[in-house]
Amino acid sequence: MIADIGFYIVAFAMLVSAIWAVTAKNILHSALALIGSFFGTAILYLMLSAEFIAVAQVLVYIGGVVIFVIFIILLTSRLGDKAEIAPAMRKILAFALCSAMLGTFLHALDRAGYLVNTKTATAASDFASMRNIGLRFLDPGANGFLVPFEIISLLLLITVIGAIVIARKEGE
Amino acid sequence: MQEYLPLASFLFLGAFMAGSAMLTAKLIAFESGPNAKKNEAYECGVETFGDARIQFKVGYYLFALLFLIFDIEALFLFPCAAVFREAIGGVSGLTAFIVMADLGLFIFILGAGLVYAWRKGALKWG
Repeated sequence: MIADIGFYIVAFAMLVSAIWAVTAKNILHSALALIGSFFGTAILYLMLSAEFIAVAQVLVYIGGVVIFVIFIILLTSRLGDKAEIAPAMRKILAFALCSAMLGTFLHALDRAGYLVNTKTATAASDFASMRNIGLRFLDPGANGFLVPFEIISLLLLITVIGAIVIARKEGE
Repeated sequence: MQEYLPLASFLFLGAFMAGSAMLTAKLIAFESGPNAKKNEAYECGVETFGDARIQFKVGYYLFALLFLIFDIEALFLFPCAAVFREAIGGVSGLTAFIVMADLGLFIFILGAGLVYAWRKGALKWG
């Protein structure tokens, strides 16, 4: 019951900040409103006891992506000054695309049975808990994900090198 | 769900304190709106020119990128840290040696990235 009320409060806050992010005249305000939306998503993940994804949401989306968006706004000097009014054609196209995407998601959820039977979507129970994911990461056996875990590290190493090679000037 | 109540109350209290301070300041402050005199540079200050928003160095971007990468490293170490004590105690066939080797390799590979960034001077400002 309390969880239900909590869900509606969080969902409402998410909706408000998402609409704010889309309609704000100042692009910097959009980026800040996006934080609210992402944070609400993290709370929803927690409510589904998907702790790891909730932490990922906060660390990667709020701590990373939004900070990057703000950096890009600051790096491009004129972007934050005036709101660019999108032409009507582009607005209609964007609306159609977003509607199509929402339709696809709803269709997929419907086929998985989540729209009819909401009970199946209540909690991921122990499946996605921190503990289970941690044990699976470290397990070198057949059930474990040790190799992908180590490859993540390798992928991040490649990203470090790529970022430095691209961003640094030659001969420095 | 219950274990997040302290977190939620801290979040609420933090937002409440910041919000109430701003609201109180708004309520008790005397406001006269901006005018030409008020917008002047204070006392001996120089008149401002140009725009407040300037272009930043790309160096900021590189630092943000490096931050993001180690941010993700921390994210993947989170679940391992949560089970570390249990895992070295030998749950589901893990031994202390295996756990140390797993995490050691993970951190070593990323440490190599840090050393690379260091040697290339990417951590130097300017």
